[in-house]
Amino acid sequence: MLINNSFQQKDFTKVVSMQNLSSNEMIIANEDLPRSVLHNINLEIMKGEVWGISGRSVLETKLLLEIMANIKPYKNGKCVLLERGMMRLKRFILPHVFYIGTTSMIYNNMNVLEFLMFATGHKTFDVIRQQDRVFEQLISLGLGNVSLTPISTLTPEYKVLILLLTAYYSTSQLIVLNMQNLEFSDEHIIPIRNISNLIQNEDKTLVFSSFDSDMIESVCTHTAVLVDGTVAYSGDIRNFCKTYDRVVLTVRYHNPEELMSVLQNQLPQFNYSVGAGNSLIIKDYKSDNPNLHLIYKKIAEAGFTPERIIINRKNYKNACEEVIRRYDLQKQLL
Amino acid sequence: MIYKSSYFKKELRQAYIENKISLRKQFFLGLFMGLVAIAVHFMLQTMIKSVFGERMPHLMQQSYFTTLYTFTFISLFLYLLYFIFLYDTLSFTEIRKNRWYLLVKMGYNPISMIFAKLSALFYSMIIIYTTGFAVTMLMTAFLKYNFFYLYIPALYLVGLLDFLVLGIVILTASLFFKQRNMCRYFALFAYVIIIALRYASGYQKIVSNRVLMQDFYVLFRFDRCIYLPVIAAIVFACLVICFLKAGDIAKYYSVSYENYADFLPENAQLVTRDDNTGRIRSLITPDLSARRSKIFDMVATASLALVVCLAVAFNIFVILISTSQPGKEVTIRGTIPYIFVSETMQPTIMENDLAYFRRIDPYENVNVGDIVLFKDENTVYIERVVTIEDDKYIVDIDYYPPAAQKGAMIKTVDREDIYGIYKGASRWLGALILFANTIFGRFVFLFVPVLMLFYYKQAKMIFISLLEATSDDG
Repeated sequence: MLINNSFQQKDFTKVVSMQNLSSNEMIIANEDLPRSVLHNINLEIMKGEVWGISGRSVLETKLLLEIMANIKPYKNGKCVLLERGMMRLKRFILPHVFYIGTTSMIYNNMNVLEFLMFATGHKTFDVIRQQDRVFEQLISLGLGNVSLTPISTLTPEYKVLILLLTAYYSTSQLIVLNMQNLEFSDEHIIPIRNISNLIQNEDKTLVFSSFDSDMIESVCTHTAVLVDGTVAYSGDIRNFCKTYDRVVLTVRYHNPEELMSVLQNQLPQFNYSVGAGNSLIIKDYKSDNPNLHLIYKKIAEAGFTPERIIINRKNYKNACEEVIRRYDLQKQLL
Repeated sequence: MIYKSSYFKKELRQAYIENKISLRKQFFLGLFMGLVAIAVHFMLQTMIKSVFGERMPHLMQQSYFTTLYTFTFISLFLYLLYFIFLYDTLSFTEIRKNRWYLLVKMGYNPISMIFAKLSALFYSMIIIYTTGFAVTMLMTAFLKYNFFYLYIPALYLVGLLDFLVLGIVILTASLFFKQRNMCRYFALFAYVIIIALRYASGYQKIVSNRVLMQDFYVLFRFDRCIYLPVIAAIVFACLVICFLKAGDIAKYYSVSYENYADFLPENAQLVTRDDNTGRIRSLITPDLSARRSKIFDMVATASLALVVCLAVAFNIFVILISTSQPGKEVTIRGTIPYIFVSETMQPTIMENDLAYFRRIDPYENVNVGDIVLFKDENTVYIERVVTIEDDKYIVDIDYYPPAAQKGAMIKTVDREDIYGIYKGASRWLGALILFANTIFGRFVFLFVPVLMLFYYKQAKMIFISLLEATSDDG
């Protein structure tokens, strides 16, 4: 940690607490009655957690994070950040929140190291030592290749990485990254994970919105899924994947419909659906430990020779789809 | 290399092309301003014998005062252009782009950032202006004009104060304008207001008087002119506004609902409802300031087109007049325009005036006292009818130069040789034609309009790309 602040020494466990929060902004679609973009939002985020907010609508996730960072006011409910209540209508920059919502806040006329020194070094007397630390940290985070690159030549994704690192150097306890329109590849996700580890080690909290399942799965400890302006799920990401990803096997076969009809008769305890690329997706809603051997045996006995059988590792994407599916189902029933 | 940046240094490096700290670049800008001032001085020298020479002697004399005075005027205009081009980096726009948000989060104090920004502006302003002023003095020394130093400190101060007031006014305006083009137009407006204020307050009369300017303290005699107290008040007010408003904007993270437009489902609207009235208001409306900016752009483009058309028409007129030959004069609706290049008819027609003659037929009466256009041995003369004797007209000029023999130009003219009677003269149009015939005039009235006519789109694209290149949008 490069900058110390007495503020950090206070022990706040709950970083964000939203209770029955609804937004000022409403949406009217197809001549329906207006509904709040966000309503009945209940969310609790603790110190040292990394949250990925996902969902079906960019509008909802973007607005939620803006309210969380006190960029936008909210209408009803309660929002407490680090045990300090936020005024509903005022939207000052809060000292304990670092919000990244655009790459235009970075200075293009510097290189990466220079910018980080500009941002962090103005109160440091030992500039040489400070620069050594920053430079070494860039290398250790996997950003050594861009450390002397002019910022103007960086992609927006790399700029976000630099901003995230700057946020880590700040005294803010809560870092909010609201850039879901960017596409992060592996070369970005690895440094993001490294930075998020640093943030966690400092007992700070990172909340970001993303529609990239791989990124959320790779970086986050917790997640929240927004559907139709409300939180459909919030909590631990492992538990989320375990609970909601019910896919057990994906079988590739040239005629998945035929395979499905056979298996439906023989193994009715499973749920079957045809997926993309001639694949049969087999889900198990009844057991957490399905008998995969039995499925394989039945396929072989029926004389099918699948091109590929993939055992599903519980993943975020499937879980997210499942949560949304259940939400829609529940909504239809109501 | 160890990087140790301060906000002040960051400001300085932002203000110059390629974003590098370089005193050399500031010196070059000053040098450029000085050279342009000298070029304008040379151009004005070609127009001494015109109405300019009479009405603006302070711009026409061959003295240090004239060159330096020209510099103060030219440099202010060039500084305006400099500000318009580098608006994004010189102004407070960066606060709206949330660049201060990051720095505030990192422990920078907004008040000290405002102070650093203003200091950087004044620092660069002083370097550029002083360099330009020194270059102008040096170039004037090569012209071997008599060196007289008493008015130099006062002139230096006059130009620097104009720089200061223009810079601070634009900087303050940038806190209020969301559309940068609107602020650019405002900058132009502020420049015009400053010039108008100089004339309205009588300040112009003082600063253009080289005798008065020999007394440095004449600028501070507020009973004579209140320009300085007025601009001092403006500068003070702007500084206060800068500190208050910029500090206030820096407290907020700037975000617009326009960003949501891309994320809205089809046929959906983002609205808010007033709790008291129950009224629903759309949040994503066409930005009024953007619409206003568009109107301003249209007006500016239309004005430019008008100016180009006028310039082309004027140039055609100049060419027609220049190609007039005795007996083949250009007649416009019965009027023959003539550039009068002699002092002989002073004070009725001055040298380089555009004189108009009404074309007459051989039977029209010509009276004593009429100034006539006539042909004598294939040469065209303009003289006044003195007497009429037996259908013979005795003509003479009004003014004989001191060394000339009086009566030397008396001529006897037949009626059929007289083909025009003097109607009037335009001193300013004559001066303008004189200017149009200089290299600079050809450039302004011919080259630029032709370029704009044929390459308007390309020129506009280059101009826009230049403006965009100087903005640093991240």
